[in-house]
Order: sequence, then structure tokens, then C-alpha cells
Amino acid sequence: MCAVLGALAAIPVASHAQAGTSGTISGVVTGEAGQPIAGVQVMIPGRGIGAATGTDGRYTIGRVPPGTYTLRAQRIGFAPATQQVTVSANEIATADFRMTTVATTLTTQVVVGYTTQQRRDVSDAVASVKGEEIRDQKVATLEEALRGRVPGLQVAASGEPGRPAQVVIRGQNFVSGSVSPLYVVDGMYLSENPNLNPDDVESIEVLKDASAAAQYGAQAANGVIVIRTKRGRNGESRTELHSYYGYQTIPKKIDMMNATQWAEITRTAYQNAGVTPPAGALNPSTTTDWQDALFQSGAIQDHNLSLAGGSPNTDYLLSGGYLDQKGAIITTGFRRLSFRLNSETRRGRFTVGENMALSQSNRVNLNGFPLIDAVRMLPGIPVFDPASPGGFGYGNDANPTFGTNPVGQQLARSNTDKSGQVIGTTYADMRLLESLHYRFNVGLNYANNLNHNFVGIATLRYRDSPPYATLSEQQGSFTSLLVENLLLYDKQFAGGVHKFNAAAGVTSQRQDDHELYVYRQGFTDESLTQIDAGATGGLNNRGYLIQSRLNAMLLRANYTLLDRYLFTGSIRRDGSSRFGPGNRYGTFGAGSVGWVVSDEGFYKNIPLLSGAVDYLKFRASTGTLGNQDIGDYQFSAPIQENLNYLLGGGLVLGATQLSLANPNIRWQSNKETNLGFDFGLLSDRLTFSADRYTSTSEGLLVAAPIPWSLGASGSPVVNAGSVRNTGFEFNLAHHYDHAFQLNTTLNLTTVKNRVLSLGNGGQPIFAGPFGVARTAVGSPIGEFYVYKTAGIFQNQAEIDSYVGSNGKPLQPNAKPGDVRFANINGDSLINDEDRYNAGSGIPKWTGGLFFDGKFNAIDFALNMHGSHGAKIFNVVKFWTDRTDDPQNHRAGYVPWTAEKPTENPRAVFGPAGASNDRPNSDRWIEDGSYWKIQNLVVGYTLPASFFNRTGLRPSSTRLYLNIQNLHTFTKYSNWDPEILGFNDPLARGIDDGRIYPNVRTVSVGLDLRM
Amino acid sequence: MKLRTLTLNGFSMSKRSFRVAALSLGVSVALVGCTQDLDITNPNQKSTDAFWHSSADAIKGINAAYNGLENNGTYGRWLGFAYDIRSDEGWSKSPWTDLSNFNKFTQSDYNFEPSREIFQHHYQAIFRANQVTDLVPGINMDATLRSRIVGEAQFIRALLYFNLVNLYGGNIPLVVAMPNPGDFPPSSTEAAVYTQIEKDLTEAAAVLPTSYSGSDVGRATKGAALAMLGKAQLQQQKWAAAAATLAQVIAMPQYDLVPKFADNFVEAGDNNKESVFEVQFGDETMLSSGVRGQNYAKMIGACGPGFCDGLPTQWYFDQFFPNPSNRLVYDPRLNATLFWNRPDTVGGGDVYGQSFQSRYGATSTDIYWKKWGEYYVPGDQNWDNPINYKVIRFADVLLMEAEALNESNQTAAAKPFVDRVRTRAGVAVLPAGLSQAAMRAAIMKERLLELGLEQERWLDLKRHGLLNASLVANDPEFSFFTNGKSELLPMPQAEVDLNPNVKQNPGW
Repeated sequence: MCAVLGALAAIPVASHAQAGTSGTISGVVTGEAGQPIAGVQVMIPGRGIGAATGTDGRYTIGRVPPGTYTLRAQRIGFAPATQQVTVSANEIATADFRMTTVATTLTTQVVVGYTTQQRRDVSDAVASVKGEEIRDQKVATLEEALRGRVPGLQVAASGEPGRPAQVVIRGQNFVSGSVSPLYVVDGMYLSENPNLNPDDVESIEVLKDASAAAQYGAQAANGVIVIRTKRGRNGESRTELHSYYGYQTIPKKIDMMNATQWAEITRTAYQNAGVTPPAGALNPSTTTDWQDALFQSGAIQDHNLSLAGGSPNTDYLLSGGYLDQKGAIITTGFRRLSFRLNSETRRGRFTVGENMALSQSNRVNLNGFPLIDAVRMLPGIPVFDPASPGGFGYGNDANPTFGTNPVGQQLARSNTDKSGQVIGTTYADMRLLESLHYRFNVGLNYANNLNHNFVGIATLRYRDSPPYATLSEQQGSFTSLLVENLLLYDKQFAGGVHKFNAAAGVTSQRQDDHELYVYRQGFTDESLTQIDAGATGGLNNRGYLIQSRLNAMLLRANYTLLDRYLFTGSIRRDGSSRFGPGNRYGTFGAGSVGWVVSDEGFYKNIPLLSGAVDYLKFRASTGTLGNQDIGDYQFSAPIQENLNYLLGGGLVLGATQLSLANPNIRWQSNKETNLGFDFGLLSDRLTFSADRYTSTSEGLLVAAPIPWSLGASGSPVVNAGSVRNTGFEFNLAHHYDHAFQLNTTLNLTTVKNRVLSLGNGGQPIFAGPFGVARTAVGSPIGEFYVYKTAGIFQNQAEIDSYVGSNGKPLQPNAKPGDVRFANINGDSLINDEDRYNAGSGIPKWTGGLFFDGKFNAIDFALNMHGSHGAKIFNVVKFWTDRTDDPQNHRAGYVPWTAEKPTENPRAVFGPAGASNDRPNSDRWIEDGSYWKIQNLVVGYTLPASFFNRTGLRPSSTRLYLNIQNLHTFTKYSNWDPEILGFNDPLARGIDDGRIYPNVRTVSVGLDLRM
Repeated sequence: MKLRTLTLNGFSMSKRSFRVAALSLGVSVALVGCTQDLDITNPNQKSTDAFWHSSADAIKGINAAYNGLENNGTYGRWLGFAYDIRSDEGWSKSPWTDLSNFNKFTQSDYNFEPSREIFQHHYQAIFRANQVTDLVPGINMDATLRSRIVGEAQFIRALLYFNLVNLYGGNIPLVVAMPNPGDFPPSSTEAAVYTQIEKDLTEAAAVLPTSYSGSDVGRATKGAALAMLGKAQLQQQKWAAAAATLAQVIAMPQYDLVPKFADNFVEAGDNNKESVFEVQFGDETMLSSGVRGQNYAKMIGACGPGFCDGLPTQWYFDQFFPNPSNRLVYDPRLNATLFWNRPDTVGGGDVYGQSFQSRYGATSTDIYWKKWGEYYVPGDQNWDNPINYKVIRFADVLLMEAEALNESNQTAAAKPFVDRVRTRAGVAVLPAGLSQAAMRAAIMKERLLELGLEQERWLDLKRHGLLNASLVANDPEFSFFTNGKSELLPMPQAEVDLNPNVKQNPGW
């Protein structure tokens, strides 16, 4: 190793060994303070000759033909400098440079978990997003702001107020458990979206590969998002106010049939089935537009005030925020109050500080499947019906639909969540040596949530009259405590030739989740909606406590040699209470290397490259991450009490085991590798990064469904199988920085997801509605596996000639106009063996394109993102396009008739239509590709003179207009192709009618700084 | 020479620095030493290894197996659809299209709720019974009680397999021990399933008491095991064996017909002397105590108080009339079985506290199921109906015995058993000297009138080879019946998808 390094080190100084009829240029490169700078490339552009400075800042360029040259010195982090120099034969010309530092993305500090590095020194796959970039988007949650911005990060957001978006980093390598990456906020571990006020965020780093994430060991398998919140700075005192107000709408409406059009199709459907329609069914008197009744104009307002300041010994930041959102679906809404105090005090060797966030939020939830009901409900049913109990219209004998009145679902029910959360860390830091610190870190996440669900006595669904009003309340109190003892080391040797930084420590986490549930029924006065107002007969309560513990030891070290050889290593050993004795400990480790080629002496000799590319770095990493997210107490089966019976007229107690357990479950490990390179052109104005990643999970923790015939409920968790994700990530950024400033960022990610093996005897796992999503070896997770439609039978002859291997008709009961199903296996029967892979909800690529810029007082941003290749199983369409059961249909839906053959099957009610409307067929699968104009922002900064007469002295005042979700380009027929697809990790891409479409927001805002 | 620049001189430390570093490391190591214990026991539920240790555990375990009989898929809701509404005595015009289709032998989704839940809930209850048969024998407890409890579990298991083999056929997996997560039990055969059923019932009959007292009343008895054994033998056309087995039940002194037929189907008739085995149900107030009611009456019961998702066929209704054109003369069991517009009483009779004619119109020809409903409670039928469901009634035992004897060429010996049932019903005894075929028809008819909506008709048709599309004459729904396919329900899609060793049923 040492010999190799020595050889490498020899390269830059090898050139001054020769001399002849040429001259030599020599000099010292120093910084603004006169300190020598190592690693500066000093060269004669276009001539391929030059040298790099040593640790003393000195360089020597030999064998320079006599002449006058423009000599250029450049190093990342400094502004390039040039000067004229004249070289004579056999003389040494002197050219010293004094360089000034400039901030570029490459010199920004990147918090890679426990250690901090300059961007240029990072050899792991880490993406950073700065606070300003987030703030400019004016979104209510952080993940919404990340959407499309970070290659490799897939964010599925919805328009539901206060609902956290779902984030998946680099494809899906889990098939059960939480989908969420680990969030680390100011050092505190959070297993779920922390619901932070975006205005408080200083930076976000996404740790994507094993080398970056291995320091979080067993919790890092889904990737890690490290968030730093803002702090005060030395010497400044600033006050900022950020405020905006906007209105929100659901951008699209699905055109449905009116009552007359509906009645016509339905009449045909009954006729074709030879069934008498229910009396009065086909003469609806009203036409209800259910979408108009359910959707409304929403509104959002957000106000944040922060005060920050500092002195050499102390800094502070105080902020308060208020967000109030009225949803675009009636009654839904979200309100959040948040406060933050970050401060730090330094005295001698000691530093003490804390980051503390308090928040309180209220959310009014969406109930049931409103986005199915908003289209399937029959147009002949009124929204409000004074004659019905509760006053809402619903299905009846004449309009026999089992759809639920979605307006009633929201109005007759009060389903709210009230949450309070404290997320904080307190730390004490002692400097042991100049380069060695001891740090004690205590983190707390305390969250309290009260769900209140009052269901009034209103009848909302055919034949579903609640006999009484009910109230259930669930109160959860979650505490997570983190205690860390860390040693932090950071030192440069030999004038920066060796840079070494490391963190080592022990950390322990404990989590307690305590839940209480109460229920009462029979509220005689519905204006009294608290538990005490309910009757005591039939009351019910439950409660449980779930505890888990995790102990770990970790070590992470970064070593940079000569600024161009980068080494990072991490190792972590975790012990988790979630596994049985004997399987509790797991060790996870990773490493990466980087090579800044552009800092090499020989780099200048590489034609083309050296002239164009200022900065070129290659990176490689590999390592192992763990996953312990299997729920608690899984390694033993519990005995379920309260399975009672009546004997001799009285109650007798029963208890038994209901599920099967796997006592041998152990860690899941993910092996990940990453290869990448970064380069910068045109003095770093144009940067490009590319990464190739592979992640292979082994001993995948699977809640493997077991045959029903085993009689056990639930699915025992087994270490079964393996999933591999591979893909590329590209990021291209351009900064145009003149009077007119324009930053352009383009990113692209590809994902290929493959199941390599599954435990469970290799049996595929079926999930999702009607079991349409199949996870099988050789396919992506949750690929749609359905019957294949093969057109419509146009006449009896086609039916008769559509025969199987035995020569008999495959669909003998079909009539012209019915769906023909493909006989995939070529046998004599159309059955479940004729299902095929019809694509998956995992996109082939996702990407984003962002522009932001400034011209004089005007700033603007345009953000777009898109996804290609994902399929969506549209459950909503299943409900609107079937005629075997009474539903409303989309406007323009024309069933097949002999006179007017269409691609849609004939309308036929009941059993004769059951085959056409088979739920698990590709009739309901659509292309989910889209391209979205996510944000359009135009801002104007008022001139200072504007305030001359007011006495106010704001340092900056900006007004802006922001339009979010301006337009979506897609072929998808529902409201929004961007669907939350991770509710069930095995059934992604299923639009199940519970997905709140992303709203369009038009807002105006004010940013004030003093 | 160039290596000099790379020497690690920067790494040298003063002694003091080493002390500080060592101290801090020491602090850290000390903290490692006091890391928390990772042994956490579940504070909410006992784990399996802490159970099955005492007679109290054994009793709780068997009670939980009985509790499994109350589920939707066992005796709580769906069996009535599968056995009765699908047969020619019932039909469906449920607005729940998929449910209506189920009764028309049509399922586009093989996981459709009734089909799925019958399968799933039967196997879940079998799992509970299997725990008892596997683990109770190892408990150190009173030996008599121990073998009784095991016998009860065997009875429950046999009862459940009897339903499964008749509804899903011999392709069901036969699981009689606690499984492991990696098991894929293969399709069995009808013969193997019946062998297990007979074994369980024979062993159960040997250890179960003839009756219980106090808070044990309702548990499986010797009589229940023998009656079920006889029923299983009968279904396999083992006529002589069935006759011998059932005769033992008939000889037991505690069983008799109650004087009034209708008293069997009301809450007051729970656990009466005609009851051989019944599933115990509670009303709605028992829900939070872990006990529920049966939902038959709500789902199948009369429109209005119930949902009438299942209806009697016109043909079935007509069977009660010697001459269907004369609605004044009919088998009196009709009025305990169906609601109809009675010409012989005011307002057409009472339907849950309101006259038939005021509910459905003076000239309504509607007919609805009445059996198992709380028609004597005015208002709507509650979802959770506390009337126990009688799985085996003594009248059924008598008619099975008659059938077994008749098929064993003892037609004359069969007659008194049928007559005993007819006499209680208030109708004339059978004429003497019926041929074997006539007696067979008479018994079939008797079972139809006596045991309507008691989950017998499907089995009767099947046993006598009559289950085919030609039943369309009785029930137009049989136009959707495909011979060779519709005799069995499809194996649920999930079972076929998850278990490579299970075969789908023919035609599905």
C-alpha cells in the first residue's frame, strides 16, 4: 500500500529531474492569508505542461521552451488565477500566485452522518439539497420538496393535507415492514417522516449507498436522510418572515354520465341479461355530480418567523411557524403550529447545545374510498335526502348500488388526528485534543397522537343503517430515546497531505409505543361527541405496549491523501431486541474509495480532457446494510385471549395461538455497490455526476403469506429470498452566472427491480386487491399478474371457433360482445393458469428538470418531474366500466353492440357479465407515465428605496407568485398518475380510490429579511 | 526518497494526549458495558411456550376451538348460502351482484368472500382443534378431562372437514397436526378425508360423555360424535354402517323430538332435548366479550327486517302443499319455515311485529325464509342473532336412520322413523308398504320439509346423485350449473397461488 502511494506521490515531482535548453518556472501559491496551498495545478494552457504544488505551496515546471506564456493556476475552491511569465533558456522564472477562495458546490460541507466532509472529498453516493432550494418551492412537507430533485429518490406525494409523502431510495429492496428510509434530524434517529417545518431546514443529505449509510447499520437498509436544521451564526442578528397564501383545487375532473345516459346503458344491461330491472331503477329524476359535491376549493396559508444571532461564544435560532390548509376535498384539512429553538454555547474546551422542535398539528382525515364513490355512485341518487336517516342520499331498491355517499362519509363522520411532537437533541462536546472531541448526545422523539373517530347515525350506504352513533378514540404515545457517546477526530497532517477524520462511538436506542383504544356506541344527542356521552352497553377498550431496544457500536473514518485519494470506511455492530436470543447481533460494514483524477500531475497531459474538464473524480463503494424492521415480538407466537364461547348459557373463556411464528428470524442484509464519477466543466459551472448502483438483499425479511389451509392467520416473518435493484443515476447541473443568472438541473434515474429468490418454497406472493400483484422469482416486486383480454367476440362464429386444445370452445357461454380471454397456456380451459405478467407499478425511469434564475430584481423557478414505464392497476376504472353491477360510467363509455361494435364489452347485468368484468384482468391496467410541471415561481425583490418613508429597514423584501402542479402530461384516465404506491410494499401502483389527488395550488407570498 | 513526505510523523502523540484519549475511550467502554438488556418479553400477550401447561390452559384452548365455529365462514354466516341457497330450495336476487352470482355457480374472483371465508375460517378452526389434539395430551392433568378435551377437538375437526370435503371436494389439504410456516400440505382425496373424519369421530365417541351439566352444556357429546359419524357414513353411502351408528344415538335416552317443531328455531329452544349438537351464539351485547351471533337471519331473512339475500324457490314453497292450487291445505311446518301471504290468518301472518300484507302488500306472493329468525322480536332483525344453530337435530338423526335402513333394503324398518317425525309435525304417517324407491322419495321429501335451511339439501342431492343442471326445473338458477364443475366450489385463488401442492377443482 505504502509503495503504491509513494509511486503515485512521485508523479508530480518527477518532471523537474531533467533540464536542457529550456527554462524552468517556479513559484509559491498561497491563499488569502498567505498560507501555502497544496494541490494547485499550475500550467500553461494548451501546451500540456504544468505541475502541481506541494505541501509548501511550491511548484516547479521544468523543460519549458523559452517564450512568454500565460500561466494559469487553478484548484477547486479557489478562483483561477493567471499571470504572464517570460521564460529564458536555463533560467528559472518566478511566478507566485495568491488565490482567493470561492464557494462552489464542491467546497460545501456535506454531513455524511457522523462525519462532515467537503463535497469534493466525498467518495460515497450522497446527494444534498439546500434549505433555500426547498423553501422556494413553498410546500407543506419536506418530501414534497424533494420530489424529482434527487436522483435515486422516488417520492410519492398526495394532495391529502398533512399526509406525509412516501420516499423510496434506489428501488425497493424490502417486501415487508416499513418503506421509509431512516431520518436523522440533528443527530436524532427517526423511523418515520419527521413532519418538520420546511423553513427550518438548513440542508438535507440523502445517503444512498452502503458506504454512506453503513454507520446506521441495521436501520439503514432503506437508505438514510440526514437533515440539519438552521442555526444562528456568529456576529449576525437576523429576523426573517416568510409568509404565503394560496388556494388549492383538484386539477382534473372525470366526466361521468348523467342520469339519462346511465339509464340507457343500464336498461340494455338488464335486457341483455334477461333480468327485470328493479322497479323505478331506470327513471332517475335527478342528476347528481358527485365530484362537484365532494371537491371544493381549498386554501393554504403558511407563516414563519425566525430570529437568529450569535456571538463568538453563543448562537441561537428561534422560530415559529403556522400552517393552515383547507383540503380540496370537503372537510379535510391540516393545521400545524411549530416552534424551534436551536442554540449552542462554547466555553474553552466545552460546547453545549441543543436543537429542539415542538409541533402541534390537527388533521381532518379522508374516510372510506371516496374517490371510488365519487364516480361509481349513481347519478340518480341525490347527495342530500331529507327523508333518509341522517339526511344523505344512498342506494335503494330502485338504485341498488352499494356505493357509499362520499359526502356523507365526510360530513356525518368526524375523523381527526391531533398530534403533538417533540424532537430534540442535546449535546455536550469536550475538546480533548485540538483534533479529538468527545461528544455526548441525547436525542428524544416524543409523539402523542389522538385519533377521534365519531360516526354519526346517518345511513350512507344501501342496507347499511347504523343502529347508533359510535365513537372510537385511539391514543398513542410514542417515545424514542437515543443516547450516544462519540469520539470525533479530525486532523490534517503534513500540511494537508493527509486529512483524516473519524467518528467512533456507542449508541443505544429505546422505543416505547403505548396505545390505548376506547369505544362507545349509542350517542343519543349527537352534539355530545365525547366518550362520556356514549352509552355504557357495548363499550370496548384495548391497549398495548410495544417496546424495542437497540445497542450499537460504530466506527466511521475518512482519509484523504494529497486531496485526491479518498478513502472511507464504516463498521457498525447492532444488537436488536426484535430477534430471538442467538440471532440478535449483526455487523454491517462498508467502504469507498475516490480518486480526483483532475488533481493529478499527469492530468494536464491528457488531451481534450484536461482542457475541458476542470474536475474529475471517480468513486467506488461497497458494503452491507441491515434491516430489522419486522415488527416486535415476532420470534414467538402469542396466545390470543378473549376467544370465548357460551356454554350452559354463560360465558367461558377461550384462548389459543392464532398465528405461526418463526423463532429463527435474523437480520436481513443488503449488499450494495456503487460506481460513479463526477466532473466539472467551465470552472465548475457545468457539473455532471453519474452513478451505477446495485443493491442485493439477502435473507430478505418477508412476511410470507402461507397457505390458508395451515389455518394460521397473519404471515410469519421469514428470512426468505433475495431482491436486487440495479440502476443508473445521472445529474447534470449548469450555472450561468452573469447579470442574468440561470441554474439548470436535470436528473434521471433508472431502476430495475428483480426478485432473485423467495423463500416460501419459491411460491410467488400475491397481494393487492383481487390478488393482482404478484411477487415472483425473476420478476419485479408486485408485478401485475392477470388474465389477458384479447378483444371482443364479434359474432357467434368467433365464439365457436375459439377452441382449446381439445377442440371445444374455450368460452362456450360467451355471447357476441363478450370479452375474449387469451388461452395463455394453450390448454382446454380459460382459468387462473392463463394469467400473465402485465407490467408493474415500478417506473423504468424517473427524472426531474429544474430551472431557477434571477434577473435584476426578478427571480423565477420552473420545476418539472416525471416518471416513465410504470403501470397502474386502476381500481376506480373497474368500478366505472363494469356493467354487471349498477355503477355510473365515464362519459363516452360505449358498450359493444352488434350495430355499433366498440372495444368495450356489451352491457350485461349479473352472472352473464361476470366474466367481462372479471376484476383480475388487464382491462383495468393503464400506462402510468407522466410528466408534471410541479412548480412555477416568479418573485420580485423590492428595491430598498421602497421603504424609505416607512422607517422600516428590511435588508431584503421579496414578493412571489407560485403555481404548483400546473399541468400533468399523461394518458392515465384518473385524476392523478402520481399515486402513493407503498401502502402495501407488495402491491404498488394500485389506484385504490383512497388516494387523494395532488392539488393545484396558486399562492402568493412574502419573504422579509431584516 | 520521495517516501519521506509520506511518513506518519503527524500521528505521533504526546503522553498527555494519549492519557486523554485513553480516558475518553475508557468512558466509552464503560458505557458500552452498561448498555441495555435486549431481552424484552411481550407485555401484552403470553407466548406459546408459556401456555398449554395446565388443565385451565387446556380448557381455554378447546373453548377457543368452539369459538372458531362462530365465524362467518363456519356457522356464522355463509354455510347457509353454500348448502341451501345454492341448492334448489333457495335462490338469490341479492343486489350484491357477486353474492347473487355465487348462488348461480358463478365466481369471477375465486377469493370471493363467502367462498374464501368458508375455506379460511374452517381451516382456522381446524388449526385451533389441532393445537388441542397436539398439545393437550402432553399436559399433566386429570386424565379423564384430558381425553374428553381431546375428543371434543376431534369432533370439531371432523365436523369441519365434513363441510370442507363436501363443498370443496377431495382436493382440500388434510391437516391434522400443527403446521410449520414452510408447509405446503398437498391435496388429499375424498376417501382419505372421510377416513380421518371417521377416525376422529370414532375416537371422540369413545371418550366423550353422553351429557354435560352446568357450565359445560353445549360441548360435544358421545351422541354428537356418533350422529356425525353416522352422517359421514351415510354421505359415503355406507348404509349399513350408518344405520348401526345412528341406531346407537336413537337408543340414547336423553334425545327426543320436542312437541312443537317451531320450538327448535327460537332462542328458547337452545340446547333442548332434540338438539344433538349446536353452535352457541350470543346477541350483540356479547360482542365485546368475544362471542357473536349468527348472521343468517339478517342476510337470508325477510326483506325489511333482513336483507333477503337468499330466498326460497317457488318450487320449494309448493312442496308444502299437497295441491299447490289450494293454499289452504299445507304442511304445518311451512309456517315455521317461511313467511308467506297466509290466506288462513289475519293480514297474512306476522312478520317481525308487522303483518305480512302491510309490509309487502295485500296480494303479495312474496315468500321469505323465516327459520332461524327472531321474528318474535318486533323491529329489524339484529345482525347478531343469539339463536343457536342446530348442526344436528334428533329429527335429522331419525330421518338419516330411515334412509340408511331403506337403502340397506330394510324399507319397512325405515317407516317408523319417518312416521315419528311426521307425527310430531302434525301430518299423517306414511302409507304402509311403500316400495324402496317410493320410500326413498318420501324420505327425500320429508327431509326437504323438515330440514329446510338446515344445510341438508345440497348433501341430500349430492348423496343421491341428483346434483346437476336438470334441477333447473326446480330452480332456474341451475341454468348456470355446469355439470362436472359446479358441484364443487373453486379452491380459493389464494390457496392455489400459495400452495403448489393443491389442485384446482375441475372446470374452475
